[in-house]
Amino acid sequence: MADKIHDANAPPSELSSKDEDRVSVASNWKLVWWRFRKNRLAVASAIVLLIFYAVVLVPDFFSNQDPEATDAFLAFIPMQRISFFDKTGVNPSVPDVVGKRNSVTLKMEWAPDEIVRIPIALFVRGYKYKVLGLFETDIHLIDAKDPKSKGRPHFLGTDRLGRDQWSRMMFGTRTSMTVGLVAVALSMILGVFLGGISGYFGGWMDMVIQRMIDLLQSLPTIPIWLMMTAALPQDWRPEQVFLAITIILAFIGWTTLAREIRGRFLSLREEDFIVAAELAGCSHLRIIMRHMVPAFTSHIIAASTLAIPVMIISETSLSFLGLGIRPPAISWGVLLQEAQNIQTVALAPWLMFPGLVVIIAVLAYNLVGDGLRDAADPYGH
Amino acid sequence: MMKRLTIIMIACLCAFIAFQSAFAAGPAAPATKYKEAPVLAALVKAGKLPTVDKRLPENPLVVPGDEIGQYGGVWRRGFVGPSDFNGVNRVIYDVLARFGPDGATIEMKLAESVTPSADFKTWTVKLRKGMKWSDGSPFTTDDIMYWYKDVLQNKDLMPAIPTWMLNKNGSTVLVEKVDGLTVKWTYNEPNTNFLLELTTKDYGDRQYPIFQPSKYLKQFHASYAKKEVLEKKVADAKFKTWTELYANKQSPFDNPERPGMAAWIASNRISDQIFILKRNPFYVGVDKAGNQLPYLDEVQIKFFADAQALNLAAIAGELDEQERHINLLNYPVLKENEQKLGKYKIFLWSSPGGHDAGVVFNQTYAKDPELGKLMANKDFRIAMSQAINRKQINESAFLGTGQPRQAVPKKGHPYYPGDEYAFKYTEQNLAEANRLLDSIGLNKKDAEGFRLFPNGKRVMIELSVVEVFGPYRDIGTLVTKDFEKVGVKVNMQIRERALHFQMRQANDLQAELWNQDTAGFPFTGSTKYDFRKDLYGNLTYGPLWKQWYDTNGKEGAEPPADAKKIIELQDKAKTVGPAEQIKIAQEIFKLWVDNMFEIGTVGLTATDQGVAVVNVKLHNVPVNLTKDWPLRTPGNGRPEVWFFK
Amino acid sequence: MTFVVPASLSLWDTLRMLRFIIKRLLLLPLLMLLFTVVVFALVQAPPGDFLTSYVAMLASSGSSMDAAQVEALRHQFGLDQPVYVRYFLWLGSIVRGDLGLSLEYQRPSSELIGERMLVTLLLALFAFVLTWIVAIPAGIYSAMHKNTALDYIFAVLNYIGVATPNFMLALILMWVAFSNFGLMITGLFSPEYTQAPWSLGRFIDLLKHIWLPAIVLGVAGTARLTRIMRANLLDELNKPYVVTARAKGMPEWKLVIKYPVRLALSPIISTVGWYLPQLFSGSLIVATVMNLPNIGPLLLRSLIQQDMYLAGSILLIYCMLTIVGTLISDILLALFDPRIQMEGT
Repeated sequence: MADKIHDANAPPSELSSKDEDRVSVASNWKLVWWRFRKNRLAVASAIVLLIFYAVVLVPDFFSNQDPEATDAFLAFIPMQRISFFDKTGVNPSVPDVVGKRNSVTLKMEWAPDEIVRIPIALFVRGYKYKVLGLFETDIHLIDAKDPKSKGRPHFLGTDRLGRDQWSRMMFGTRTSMTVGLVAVALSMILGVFLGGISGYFGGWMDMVIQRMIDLLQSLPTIPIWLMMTAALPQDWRPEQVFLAITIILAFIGWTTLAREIRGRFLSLREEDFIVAAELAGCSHLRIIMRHMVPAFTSHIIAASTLAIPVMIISETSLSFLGLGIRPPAISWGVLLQEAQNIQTVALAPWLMFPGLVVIIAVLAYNLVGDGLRDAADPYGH
Repeated sequence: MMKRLTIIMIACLCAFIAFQSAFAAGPAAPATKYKEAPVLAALVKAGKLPTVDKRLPENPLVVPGDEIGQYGGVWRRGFVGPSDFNGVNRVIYDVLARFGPDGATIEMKLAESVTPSADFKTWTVKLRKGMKWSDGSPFTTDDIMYWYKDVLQNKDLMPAIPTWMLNKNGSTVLVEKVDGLTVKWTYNEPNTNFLLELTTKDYGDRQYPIFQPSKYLKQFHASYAKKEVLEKKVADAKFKTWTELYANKQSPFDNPERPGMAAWIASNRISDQIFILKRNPFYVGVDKAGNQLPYLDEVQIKFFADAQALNLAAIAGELDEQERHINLLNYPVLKENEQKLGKYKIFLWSSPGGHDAGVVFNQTYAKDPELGKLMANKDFRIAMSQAINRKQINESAFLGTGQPRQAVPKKGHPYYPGDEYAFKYTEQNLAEANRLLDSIGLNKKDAEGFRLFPNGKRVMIELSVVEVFGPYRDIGTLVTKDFEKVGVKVNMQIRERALHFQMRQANDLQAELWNQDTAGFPFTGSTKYDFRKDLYGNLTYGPLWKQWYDTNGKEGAEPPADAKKIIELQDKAKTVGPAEQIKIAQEIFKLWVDNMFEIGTVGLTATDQGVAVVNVKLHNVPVNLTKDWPLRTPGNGRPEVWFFK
Repeated sequence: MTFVVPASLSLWDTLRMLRFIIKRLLLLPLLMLLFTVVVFALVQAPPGDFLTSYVAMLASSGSSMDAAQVEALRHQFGLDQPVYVRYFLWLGSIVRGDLGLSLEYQRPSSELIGERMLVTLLLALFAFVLTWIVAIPAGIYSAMHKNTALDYIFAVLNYIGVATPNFMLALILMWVAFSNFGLMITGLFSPEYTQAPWSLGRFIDLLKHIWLPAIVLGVAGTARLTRIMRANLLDELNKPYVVTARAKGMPEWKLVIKYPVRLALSPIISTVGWYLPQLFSGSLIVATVMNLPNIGPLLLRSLIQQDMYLAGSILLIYCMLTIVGTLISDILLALFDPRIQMEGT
């Protein structure tokens, strides 16, 4: 993050005249981008997010097994370590595992097979799938070299039904990241619309909307979730439930954004250039869209980016309570809920890996959001 | 010399006497036939309690135990809230007659004898002479007659008479007092199940027990208390009607002042953080050496908001005997810590049979007639049973401890119909399943390989799953996959219990996953083998059949011949003796399995309250115990003879 | 720390503030009425009612009740009346101060809530104090030493704190404490003190147990507060008056604390009022997982079981506290920061 205080004091002649020209004719967006670029941490986080979204677009590419393929005799396999070298040189492989149930404690115990190893490679042919429903392919990022081999690599282990966690993680990422994005997009629309009306027109509309916001924010979120999801028709398919959950999350989350936007509108309304526009006879719509919105868009985007992790955590909590995304759909929340018990924490801690992924995603979003906000902040320079 | 000897002898005598009195605790206690806990002995000495001989009945209940125990100690247990009251009922098992550890023999408890007449129409219950309530007042047949006259037949307290007290023509069964110790029940028709019924007449499910402390409770009853006094009491307790007040005052879990007959009596309320039950000085039981029971001073039942926390407490050795809410899947962790900490040992208790997860198809499903017809087809059900991979289910849900089986009692139980029926259709045979499905008209398949009805619509069945007995979500997932392997699409819906029950009641369920825990008691209580029983506790294999019976054929759906036969057999069983009952039971189970009214998967696991975590210092806890709700496990393990050493 | 007390609140300002408070207080009953409708609707929304849950639960343990007995109970619980009748009955009793009977506990809701009140307040207070003691200095330090290693470490720790689902953290901590240290940290009291009356011994026992739940409950709040403090302070430190003060040679720490910290704190202080409802319910799931005897598990249970009077009462108290809390926030904000104009609403 650039040290703004000292930059402000730097003599302007540090910039070459060519740069100066560039800066003076650059649009607001370009300026924001340049400032953002300087923030290395934010950029790194943005790259992480891009990887996540690549997973969202093509989860099948990243996974190597059917996320719902159960095999009770492969339950609780721990994470398998990849070794890159062996006697013949570079040969990344994963040990096959031999397991049996301990007759006393009834625990599934797995030991790496001394002899048999499963070679793995990148960009291997595996099961067929469709990319975005358009074209079919069968290439996977990382998988066993021989797709027909009996032993399969389990990079993140398996759960109690023998399902491969690595693959489940990919599909869970798709659901959770999408919910976050869509929910925030929806709440952004709601927030801008209602906050805008509130701030721009003021008066009784403002009061009604403000009280509505008060009402919504006064109620603790968990009861609202409980009630709304419990009231969902029970025969909806997982996809419909998914959509409903997203809408419910947006419905609860728009209030903070609306308040912020209202504040912005209120302060902007007094600005000279708005008064000038009004005097010039611009219609309300034009004033809002052409003059006010651009002034705070970057701020709104920053705020929204920071709201996404909140949505992700909310979805996780909802699914944890059994109210959100329901199996057989997979999301981080579902994965965490399946890990939220003593057996897992004590015997199969690798199943809590999705928690780490949630933290990384939230971290990345927050850093990017912070970076965007710093970059968009007009007081920075 | 003689004088010196005499003096020495007298001195020794004095010393001896002094020695004696120094060690005798005050004046010698009067010689009693029975012995009691030191805590109570102190109270007797202080004059606050009558002597133990006077507290016990003339013919006390002799409770067998492996060892003679010693007094003292607190039994720490856990529960998950006031709605978990049946957990407490199980501990105190306060009944006239009860089951023993084998789950088959009924022994007398408060009653001295229960004798039927030759035609099983009249049952004579004789109480033990000299029994007293926990406040010292006598327990007589008046307390039973009070229940009969003023509770059972009081329309405000009990708007409906429970079925066991009704004759076939709907009239109430007659109960008469013979003398202070004897009561007679007279049925219009023979009833061979009476003794079985008695064993469940405690405060289970918050039903009024058949004996109540009438002297104490009359002050809260509208027929005995003065109207203004009663109304004031109602208002003071913040209730609205006297029946609410009565229910509260009658409840041994909400009213510590209510006298009781159990080994331990509540000293506070079930809604407190720790529900404490203290020893009853007037308990009717003694051990073989004449020591008044119970050995343990107190039972402390701690509230846990979450079953995980309860399991963690058990793993840490903070509970002295706990089987309720212990999750079978925590067995490895429990076992490891058993060895590491050395604080407890783990017992595995088994059920009388049945299964721990089974698929039930609704044969009278009406919303989609095609689907209903399909599920009513026996061959369809047989095919589906053979599609299931039970080994997988056993491995993942039950740690491999179970047995693939159908809904019949276990081997060794008198009603066992034989291996052929216990294991019929339990082998996974996809070829046979496919063949059967093809043969009943589902031979057309769509592009994804799912079977179609003759009219071209895809066959899709909704499997309703409630996560209540063990990992049902997992079992549902596995079963769904198995069914899809033979081309039947299944939509698994995880539902909340209450909603599932509502749908069951309304004939809206297509298929459900549930357990069969009444295989040991197919004729009494909430048996699932009689579809005329109320739907809440029953399975959803034919809700409209019940309606057909209730309305005498006017509404509902007529049951198939075999189902009707089962009902006939059920009625017959109530009227015949035990030997004949065995034959009838076996016939019912054979019909049950042949028709696949219920598709069992895996049973005889320790899933539902079968893993018992027991403090190493707690003795006399049965290593092998048959567990079931009608047995009030751990009640049938006779907790009053458990002791710490 | 010197806070500039708005000693010079003129008579006009005071009057305006009073008018503002009175206006809000007048709105309170109307809002509460609205809340009762919403809360009641929320509790009734899921299909079925308390009795269906209750009976279903009984049946799952192998017992069952006759349909007639179920109907009797339904009548006894007053569940057989139409929705609006039940609502008005409830409303009537609330107005009289009677919070109704809990169907599950069969005891008055007010008793149940009252029993847990003290523990709830203590726990929340601890979490609150812990949060502020850690967050404010950390935020100040981060802002003053921007972009240093420690700042980055704090940033990462903070984000992790916000990102971690705290119920998961609770279970993991409980297990780790047990398996590695042999500590059992469920509940807030040792067995001897659980039901004992209040005494010094009980209080000390509480202190011994309360630190872990307070940490778990406060983790997310601490993280958030640190970030906000840092951001606010940074905003202030960029302002011209700070640059001027620095140019005039004021020592850095004195310069930061004299005005910017106070100004950075002011929006935060306005959020103190939000803590009031937080104080009350805490984090529901965490409290259930850790078996804490506060209002949290009570609320969660009553919601799931549809124990309508208990759930409705707790929710109503929650709403009321939120409104009062918001009012306190607004007043505090106005007191602390005379720049803020009182809005008409």
